Amino acid sequence: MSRIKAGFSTSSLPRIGNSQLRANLRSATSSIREKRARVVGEKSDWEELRRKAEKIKDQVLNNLDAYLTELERSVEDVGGKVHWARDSQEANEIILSLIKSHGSKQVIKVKSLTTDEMQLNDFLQANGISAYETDLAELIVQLGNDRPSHILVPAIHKNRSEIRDLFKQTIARGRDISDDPAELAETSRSYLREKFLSTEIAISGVNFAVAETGTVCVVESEGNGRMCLTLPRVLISVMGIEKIVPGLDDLAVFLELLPRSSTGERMNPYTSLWSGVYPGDGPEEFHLVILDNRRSAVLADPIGRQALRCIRCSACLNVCPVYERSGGHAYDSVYPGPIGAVLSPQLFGNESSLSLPWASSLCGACYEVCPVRINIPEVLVHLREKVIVDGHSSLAERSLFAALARALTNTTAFELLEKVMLTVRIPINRMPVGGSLPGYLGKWGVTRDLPEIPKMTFRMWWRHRDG
Amino acid sequence: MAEGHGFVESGRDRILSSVRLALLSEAEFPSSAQAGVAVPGAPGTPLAPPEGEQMGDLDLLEEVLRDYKAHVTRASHDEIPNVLAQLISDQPLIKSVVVPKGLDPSWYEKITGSEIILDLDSIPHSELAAVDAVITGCTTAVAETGTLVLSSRADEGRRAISLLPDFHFCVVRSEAIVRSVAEIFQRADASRPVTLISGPSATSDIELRRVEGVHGPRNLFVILVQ
Repeated sequence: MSRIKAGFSTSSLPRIGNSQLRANLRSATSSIREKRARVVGEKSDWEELRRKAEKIKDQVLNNLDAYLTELERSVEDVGGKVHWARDSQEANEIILSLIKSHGSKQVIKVKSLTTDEMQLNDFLQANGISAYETDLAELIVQLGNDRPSHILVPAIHKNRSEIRDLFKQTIARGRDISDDPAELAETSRSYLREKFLSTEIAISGVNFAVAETGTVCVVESEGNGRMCLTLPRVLISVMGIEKIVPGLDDLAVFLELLPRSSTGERMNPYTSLWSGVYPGDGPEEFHLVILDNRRSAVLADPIGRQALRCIRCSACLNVCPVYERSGGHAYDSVYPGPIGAVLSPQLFGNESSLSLPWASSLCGACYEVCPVRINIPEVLVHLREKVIVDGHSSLAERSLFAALARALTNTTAFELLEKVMLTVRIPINRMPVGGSLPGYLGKWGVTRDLPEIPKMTFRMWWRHRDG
Repeated sequence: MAEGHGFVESGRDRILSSVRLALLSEAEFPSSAQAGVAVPGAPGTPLAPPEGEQMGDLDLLEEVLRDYKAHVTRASHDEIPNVLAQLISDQPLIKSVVVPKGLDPSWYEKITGSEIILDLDSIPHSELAAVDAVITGCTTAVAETGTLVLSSRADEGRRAISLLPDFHFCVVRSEAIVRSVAEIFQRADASRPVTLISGPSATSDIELRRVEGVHGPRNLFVILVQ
């Protein structure tokens, strides 16, 4: 096994052994799978909606330069200011200078994967600005100095009593609270209310941005999003270049697909749309930061770029047999699960993310539920090839596969190999488990047993089947 | 904008040129949608008519709203003032009610025992947060999803007034109801701030169990006007 591929298989091991984590994950993912299936079943035109969504996103990606400039123009027409950031560093600097120009020391945030990708909170903190997460799960993660483990439910790895204990050590210190989810939610409500009313600047992500009208859309459940998008004087929203839809009718397609795929609801409680600045209602200043951060490089890969259609619903995480057992932290990326396994290596290309294309059994459940029809297994196989071709494999592995390729494409060599196998049949079959295999094979065998070698090969049986 | 930045290429121009470069590498996006591949009867294509398909929009809206824990009351147009007065007097926690300036004054003239505050856009957020309830109209409502659409119109007010109070009373006229999400933007003008509300505030962040009531109004009352 090569150095690269060790990333996920090493980091997932302790998690697979953690029975509390596995129980939390199993109960959470199975409940959301059922809910999703129920509400998706209510839409007789679901398949048609998926195809429409796929087509809309492809239309945008195929003409992304034109849509980006159209969006810029329409946002500025309605009183917003557009900023462009090639990478996280530039985006963070832009946001910091906006905050400084208002003399603020703190900001409130709506859950945003893009700002997690940028590590904005750490950057702001290093520069003396406190960023308060207002989404319940993000708050749980922030209070516990933890990392998100799911796109939709970042604290999915924690159960109610773990959360109660965390609150008692932080925002409910000295108070006696129960582990009733309603009471835990109430605790966060009272803690955050004052922050919503007193903070000057909010930072949000963007679910969709409409090129034609400059309308920006944020989808949420708790109302913390509405608070952040409505009450502060200044609003800064950050979006990846791929978040565009052409018009409002296109947006409606995604508003049907996203909640059903994501939370398993017909519609999420709150969706906010705004076009720039509106006199007498909401922020007086609106900034839209458009972030590339290697997305344009992903666009250049004809197979890999379909990952840019992703609307971050997380349906693929909830159906993935690998995710259900390893949890999100094993992926060591802001984007875990099947979509993370195709996005992270393309966006970040770091050591640990290059192991992710192997974090899959290629069962295809992710593709089946994806509301924008990203063929995740296809991209995974493509990325595996790419990682190997780029030289991330060991000499032993390369020699083994070169030999195997020769044997499998040449009849004489193949039959010779069969004969060798039959000669060593008895000692191999006597080996107790795969893990006791020597050296290199032993590593392979840790989680696998060798199949028993039969007395006769298929070819032998075929030749003699009549006699 | 970037054109004015002279010889130094801005972030904007660099992003746009790398996007253009990426698009040159492949003429077409190789997806089945582009190729027009039809997959009839593909797995995951439920063609059975969903339950409630035969239901009228008004009935469906009521059912879906109730499913998401909204309180629903039906009323004729003339009954609105009495129904609102009754619903509000039934809630002892409601001491004050904010109303947008464009709301029909007859709707709240029968309310007794609670202070009525007319929002003239000048009430600071901190004071709005102390108000218990709000009454608004509604631009359109989506039957299939139980969604109320507010768009900062005169009878809906600015977004803050339907956000900070803990009780939201929303009056929905039957002519405002549409079937599906696809029809929202035929009714709502997106150049104004638009908020889609489906049930009271909720979270599923703890063990994916839905809990009603986090930051937005925890009590949603819908008056369906026939």
